[in-house]
Parts: sequence; C-alpha cells; structure tokens
Amino acid sequence: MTTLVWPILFGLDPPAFSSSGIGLQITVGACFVLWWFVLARILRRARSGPIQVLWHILLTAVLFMVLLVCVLQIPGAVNEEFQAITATTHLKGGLIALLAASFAFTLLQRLRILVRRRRQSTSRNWPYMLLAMALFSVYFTHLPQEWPEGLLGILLSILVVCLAGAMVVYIAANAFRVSWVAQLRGNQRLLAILIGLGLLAVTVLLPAVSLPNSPFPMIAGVSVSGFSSFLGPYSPSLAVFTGLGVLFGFLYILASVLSLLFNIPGDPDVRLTVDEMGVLDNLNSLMKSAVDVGEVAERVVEQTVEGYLASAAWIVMLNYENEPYRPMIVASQNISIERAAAAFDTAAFFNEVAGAKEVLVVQQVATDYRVRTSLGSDIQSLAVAPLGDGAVVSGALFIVRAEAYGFVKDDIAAIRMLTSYASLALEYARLIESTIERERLARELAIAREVQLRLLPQDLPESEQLSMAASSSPSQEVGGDFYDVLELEDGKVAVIVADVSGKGTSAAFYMAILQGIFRSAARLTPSPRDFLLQANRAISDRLDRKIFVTAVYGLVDQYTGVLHLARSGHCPAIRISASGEPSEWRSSGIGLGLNQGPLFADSLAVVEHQLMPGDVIVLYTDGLIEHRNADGEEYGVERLIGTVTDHRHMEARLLHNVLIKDLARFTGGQPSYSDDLTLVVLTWQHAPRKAVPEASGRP
Amino acid sequence: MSNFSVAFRNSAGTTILDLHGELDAHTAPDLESAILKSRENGGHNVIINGAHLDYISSAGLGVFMAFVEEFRAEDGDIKFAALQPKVYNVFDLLGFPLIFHITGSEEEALELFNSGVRPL
Repeated sequence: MTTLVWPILFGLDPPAFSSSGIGLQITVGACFVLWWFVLARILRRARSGPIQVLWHILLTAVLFMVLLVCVLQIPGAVNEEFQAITATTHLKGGLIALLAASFAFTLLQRLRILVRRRRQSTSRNWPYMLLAMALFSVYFTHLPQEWPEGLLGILLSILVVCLAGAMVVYIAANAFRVSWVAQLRGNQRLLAILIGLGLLAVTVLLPAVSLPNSPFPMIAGVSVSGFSSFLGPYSPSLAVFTGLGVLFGFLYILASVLSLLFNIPGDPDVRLTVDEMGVLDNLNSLMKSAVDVGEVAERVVEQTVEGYLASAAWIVMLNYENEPYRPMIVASQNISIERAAAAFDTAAFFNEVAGAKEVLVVQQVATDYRVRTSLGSDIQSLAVAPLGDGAVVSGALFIVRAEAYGFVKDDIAAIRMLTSYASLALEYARLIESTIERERLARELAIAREVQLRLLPQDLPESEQLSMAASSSPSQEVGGDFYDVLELEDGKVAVIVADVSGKGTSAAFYMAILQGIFRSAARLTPSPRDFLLQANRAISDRLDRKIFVTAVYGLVDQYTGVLHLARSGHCPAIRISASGEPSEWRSSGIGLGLNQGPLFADSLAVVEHQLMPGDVIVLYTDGLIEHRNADGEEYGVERLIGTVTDHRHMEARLLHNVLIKDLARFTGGQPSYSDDLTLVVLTWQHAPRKAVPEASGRP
Repeated sequence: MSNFSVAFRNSAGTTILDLHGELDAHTAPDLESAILKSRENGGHNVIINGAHLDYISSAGLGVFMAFVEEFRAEDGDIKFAALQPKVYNVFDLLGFPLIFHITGSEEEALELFNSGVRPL
C-alpha cells in the first residue's frame, strides 16, 4: 500500500529520487491535471470583481511563500545528481510540488477571469495558451538525450520551435488583455495599483528563493532558498509549467499595473469605459435623428453587443395594440427572436423588472425556473433591465453572456446607464410616433365629423303650416345622435330623432346605417308603426348585442294636420298648445334592437294628434335633458317644457335657438356636451306665414 | 373620477350585484367585468340591486342586453330590484319592464327566481 500511495502523493520512486520511470511521470502528471480541474471547480464560485481577483491572488501568493518557507525547513537535501539524500527529501519534494503547482494553478485560474472579461471573439486565446504551455512543458522536458540525426532531428527541432513560438504568441496575446482596467474608478484604481505592485514584488521574490544559489539563502536565520532543486527532479514538466504560469502572471500583472498607471483619467467622476462612452454617444445621436421605435430598439441591442456588454441582447416592449398588453420581442442581436422567446419566459422576467424597476441579474441561467431547458452553452448568465419613462416600465432589455457569473457590479452600473439612455431614445421615438398617429386620427375624425354633419339634412322642409328647426351636437368628434326629415310625395312629412346607445365612432356607424334605413323605409312604409317595425327588423341583424337604438318617429299630413307619432324607447315627444298646455306623449314602445320577437310589435303604440294652430312639438334626445351644470344638476324635462311654454309663440328657428341658449345659460356656458344632444322643433301655424309678418318678433 | 362600484353578494345560488353611483359609457366596462366574473363562477341567476344606482346611460343598459340572452339560454336570468324612480324611468322609457323582471325589492326578485317564473 505504501509503495502505491507514496509515488502518487509525492511522485517519487522511494529509492531513486530523480530517476523515476515514465509511467510514474504520467501518473504524477495526470494527478496534477486532475488537481487543476478540482481547483477550477473550487474557484468557480469565487467573486469575480477585478479588485477581488487581484486581492485573492496576493493572499494566495503570500500564503504560498509562508508555507514554502515552512516546508523548506524540513530536513532533506539532494546531491549534485539530484538524488535524494534523506528519506524526508521525498516528503519535502512532494509538498513543494503540491504548493508550487497550487499557486501557479490558482494564479492562472483567477487571472482567467480578468483576461476573459470582455471580448468574446478572442476568448479562445486563453485555452490555447494553456495548451501550448502544457505541451511545451512536457515536450521540452522529454527531449531525447541524444539528438537524432537527419530528418527526424529537423522535425523535432521545428516542433520545439513551433511550440515555443505559439506559446510566446499566446502569452503575449493574453498578457495585454487588460480592458477591465478602464472600468475602475478613483480609489479602486489606486487599490488595484497597490495590490498589483505587491504581487509583482512577490513574483520577483519567487525565483530569488527558488534558485539553489539564491541571493538570499537565509532570511532571519531561516533557509529560504532552493525549492526548485526539489521541484525540478520531482516532475520536470510540472516545474516548467509552474514557471511559465508564474511568468505569465508576472507579465500580466505588470501590464495591468502599467496601464493602470498610465491610464488614470483626469476627472475622477468619469464613470464609463471608452467602449460604453461610444455606445452612449451612438444612442445619443440616434435620439437626435429620431426614427421609429422598432429601429431605435434594433440600434440599442446592436450597441449593447458592440459595446461588449453582452454576447447577445434583445428588447421586449409592451404591445399596446391588444389588451391585455403583453411584452413582445421587438429587436434582437446575435440571437434569433424565436430562440430568445422559446428559451426565456419573457413575460415572467418582464413582470419582475416592471415591478422592481431595477436590473435583474441571473448569474446562472440553468438554475432559474423562468429559463427553459435545452439552452445552448453560449448563454450562461442573464441581466434584464427595465426600459421606460421612470414611472411606467414599457419594455425591458435582455442581456446574456456566455459565462456564468458574467455580470459584476460595474457591469450593472454600465447597463443601468445604457438603459437610461435607451429608455430616453425609445420614449422619444414613441412620443413622435404617437404624435403622428394622433394627428392622423384627429384628421380622420375631423373628416368623419364633416361627413356626419353632411348626413344631417341641410334644408328642412318649410311650408305655410309647418316650420321646423333642428340641430345635433356630438359630444365627441362624431356621435350616435341623428335626426332627419323627409318630404313624401303626398304632402306628408316624415321626421325622426334617434339615439344610438353609446357614443363616438361605433355609434356614428350605426347612425349612418339608421339613416339609410330611414331614407328608404320611410318612403315605402311611411306610417309610424310600419316604419318602426321595419326599422327594428332591419337593424336587429346588424347591431352588436349591447347596442340598441331609441327613436321617435312622426308623420305629419300637411293637408289634414294629423300627426301620427310612435316612440320606440325614446324620450317622449313634447307638445305645447297655443294656450300653453303641455303634454308628453309617452306611448309604449321598446327600443330598436332590444327585441326581435312579437313583443316589439305588440307593445308598439301610435299616438294620433290633430295639430292645432300654434302647436309646438319638440323632439329631443336624452343628452338634452340630462345635460348637467357645474353643481351636477340636470337640465331636466320640466325646465325644457317651461322654456318652450314661455316662448311657444316664437317661430321655430328662434324657439330652437332660445332653447339652446337657455341650455348654455343653465350650464354656465360650458362649450362641450357630455352626451350627444339633438333638438328638433316643429311649429304648426294656423295661417300662411306671409299673413303673420311679425311672427318672429313676438315674445 | 369614476364614481361607480359593484359589490357582490350571494343568496341561495343567486348572484346579487349592488350597483353604486353612476353607470355610463366609462363605467360600463366595470359592470361588464363584474357580470363576467359572476358568469365564470357559474352564476346565471343575477339580481341587479339598484337601490344606490343614481344614474344609468344607454351604454350601461347595453351591458344587460349583452348578457341576458346567454343567461336565459342557461335557464338563468337578470332581474332588477329596488331601482330608484329616476333610473326606473329610464328603464321604463326604453321598454325594459316588458323585457325584464323589475321588482320593488330584492326579496321579490329572489322569490321570482325561487318560484321559477319564466322571464317575459
């Protein structure tokens, strides 16, 4: 057992320290490769801010130095042929190898975080460098003792030169990837420089204590020299790899410290990296050249990826076209919309950031329940940032990275800055879009209003006996109120006042339908009962179930002066006699569209009235009597009747104007109505108009 | 701004909606969602208690029309109770008393449901 464990632990063939067989070397190599991955797993969770990484390395280095000095105190030496002199030499060599390898491995794995911080395109340089270093270490320490002649010798020479060359190139490529330096501000920068200098000092000390003929063989009476004389013979390849690792660390930290020293910004408040500044500049110019929301979104995701904030990004915006409003992906970069939508529960993430109004970070997407499985390995971490005007979150920017724990505090700050600019640009574009849309709608509504006003009769029939005045004012641009008058061939006049339930455009459409029905049906079936039955049939098929129409329809025979009038759900017509006697014709009748069965016909009653000279008939819609003043008081049918009675001798047009003025007075001159409002006034004269020249002047 | 509200009550399988305030085009969607909710819970017997309903516009009346056929197809109905005179006047002008049961009190409306009197 001991003979089995001993070599694996310490890589030694107990009797001969340096002449270990090739099998043993492979076993030792495999053990350390395994140790590399175990360390990688342990360190994966370590914090990844630049300062934390540097600090971690410095602590490891100091710990390593202390432990190394301790181990070097173990008695044991090697002779000139690197052969063990004492038994403890084996233990000492093994421990030194373990320490040195652990330090070099930790150094490399922690630096990897800094090296691979941004540019995704060059991230392969890192594994290639490690591979080149490892291959070189193994190959270099196993060159044949006697260099072969001829072609083989040339090939081997080319190989060693190639390996060395590749390694140097990759070390150089990685050693200068210090873009994280630009993110640090003020004090952080100073701290990083100090830690960097400390690390440089430690790495400079390393070779000093490792060489056999160290310039400081003894410090305070303690031997600190010569650990490489143990490591070398223990595993030559490991020794070379460790050396190369430490060399790379030295170069990288040197490059970092130099760029920190020479890249100190003049203003400590400069909070953005050059890349991010560029992004914001671009967004800023985008805002000035205001385009549509979709294009702005495209540019934002494009800039997010180009600014190295993300490996892929996409934007979701609330879709305001359909209720309930759902977030939809409107633009994406480096990822298809379909894939983004399939892999992430867009709505769940959106709702969370919309509620929190803060950047949401998922450092390991695989563990989040809102991320569906079968994600590619190129998406490991996610940040979701709200977009909106501060009060309302109207969208979100999704940013993904190819590494887990890909977002550090500085990234979040940068994302926050980016999204505040992006929000501004998006809101600006949306504002412009909605202004254009609003103007377009306003124009179209103005046209609709024109059309609707033209649908109303332009000239009312005027005869010796009958005179009329009418008006209709929609509360919005268009409305559902309607009146019309039709002179029939036999001297009869049909008049209708109707009110489509609801207001606005939908009511206006039904009003237009109703007018079509009136214009055609009143000619064919002019009697009130027949007309309303016809109208009910015609309209019922076309109405939405919650829409109905109330109407009052009258037919005046100008020869006989007989008025037939029916009401389907409408406000009763008012009649005031010449003597001032008022009556309301509240005949029974159901609103149009409320019943398609016999009930409508059965309940419909017709009023027959012999018009008397001086009779005033007023037809109106509920908007008139329900019109309120500032105190919430309704105009009311009593006041209407009273006003008509007071001015019953007036000519129809004047009486109509008096009524509208009285309404305005009642409401305190309020210019707009809360409901559509229609008023039709008919007067019946006992004599031809010319015989009563002062008719309009009478009170 | 909206001064309309709907409260739910339940009495022996009948949903009673107490309407408060003014029911117009702006507040009609509130009533609509309330009736939808009652329908989701399987309630096809609905009594609208109008004791605190101060005003109703044509858009408000339309809501009842939108649902009544469906409820009656499910052997349910919408009945009105305790309407204020002014609101009743609007119902009356429109001919609603011919289409709906409109009772003076909630108890009478419940009684109509219990006795299985068919809608008009």
